Amino acid sequence: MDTSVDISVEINGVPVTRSAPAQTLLIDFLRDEMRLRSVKLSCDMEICGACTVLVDGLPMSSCTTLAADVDGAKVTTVEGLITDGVLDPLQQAFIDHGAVQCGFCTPGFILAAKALLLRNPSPTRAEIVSALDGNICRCTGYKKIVEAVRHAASA
Amino acid sequence: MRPDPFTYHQPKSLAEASSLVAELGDGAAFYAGGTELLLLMKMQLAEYRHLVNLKKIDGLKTIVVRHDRLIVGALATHHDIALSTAVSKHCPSLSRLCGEIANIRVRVAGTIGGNLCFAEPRADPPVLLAALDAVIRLVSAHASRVIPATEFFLGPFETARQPDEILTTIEIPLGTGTASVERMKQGNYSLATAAISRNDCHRVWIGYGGGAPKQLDGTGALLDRDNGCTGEEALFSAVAADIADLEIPSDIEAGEYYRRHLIAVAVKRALASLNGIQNPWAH
Repeated sequence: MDTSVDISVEINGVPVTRSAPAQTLLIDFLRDEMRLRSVKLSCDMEICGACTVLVDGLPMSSCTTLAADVDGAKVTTVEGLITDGVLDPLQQAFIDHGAVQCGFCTPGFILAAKALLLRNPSPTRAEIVSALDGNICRCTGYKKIVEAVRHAASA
Repeated sequence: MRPDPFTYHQPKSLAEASSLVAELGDGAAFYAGGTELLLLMKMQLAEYRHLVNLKKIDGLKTIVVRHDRLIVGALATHHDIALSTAVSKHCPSLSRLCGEIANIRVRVAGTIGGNLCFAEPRADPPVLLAALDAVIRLVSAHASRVIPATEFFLGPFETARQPDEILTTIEIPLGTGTASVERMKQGNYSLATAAISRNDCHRVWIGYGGGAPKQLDGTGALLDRDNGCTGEEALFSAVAADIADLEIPSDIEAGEYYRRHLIAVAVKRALASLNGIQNPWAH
């Protein structure tokens, strides 16, 4: 029996069609097939948020999502937030506020924050904290990250 | 961690999906959000040669109010339920709970039906649905039946669902009553969950990580007698008596003694929520 599936997906605005084994995880599809290395594998169990990507604007753990399940969807990684060489206001705010230390968790935080701002452009501090409570940073603490998101939201 | 190879089936109808699983037998599983099943497969704790995706079947995500019932499609995600105006209007306790489960990514992928069928003993929705008197519809290629949520859960990871049956809807009767749910969280899971509904009487249900949701009859009777205004000491005694014979797990997350205490605290907080008292511990 054929165990491969056809996947047609728009990744960072670019239509992509591939065939892949059914068990292919979205994170492997993005990192290995599409060479999008901002997507990080860390806890591997939907807890830390380092592998977060947006699927049709909603954050998902790419480590525990089948590539087959994004067939027909739009997937966004932080690479896709850059327009004509200009960073998204969220990306710029993370730099300006020093909300990055080692950087491993950063793409996940930015995408979780992006999903929040897409749905709610003017979140309260509590709403920002709540939206980011599924992402873990082991370097900076969360203060500067929350400040960066607040700044990007008010910009 | 990577799952072993499997064949991915994407049926377009319930009958087709049910027949497929009946035909393929033990090596096949229904698949929805994957938040729990995929994790198990990645850890090699479950092995399926065939996954039967239910997400391509129309109509399984619908949330509607019909004939004094809130009907929630099994493929509705926790996020869908949390954002549904029908749910927040008619069943605010379910709305709030679904907006707080795990993290946003799990809520976006995980479905209510998958959550119930997986029957993780630390899951919160089964406890609330028991208190809400919900019923569960199960459909196979040949038959359809409706059973109370309280009869659906048999124990840890065990339900009354037959292998070829698909959970299609959860139906919650809408009355004049109110309900609340509070949980004592550790990480993504609860150590203790309590749900209380108040209609003609109080019904108190708990989850404790050890099996199916359990009703606390003595505590419910006490709340009836006191019109829901039982003091902490009497409440703790009633809960302790109701769970005295219950086998409470003792593990790395919490010892038995601590879990028994947390169950009582969860009941206390659920009662405070039910009485509209601002709960300083809730976030």
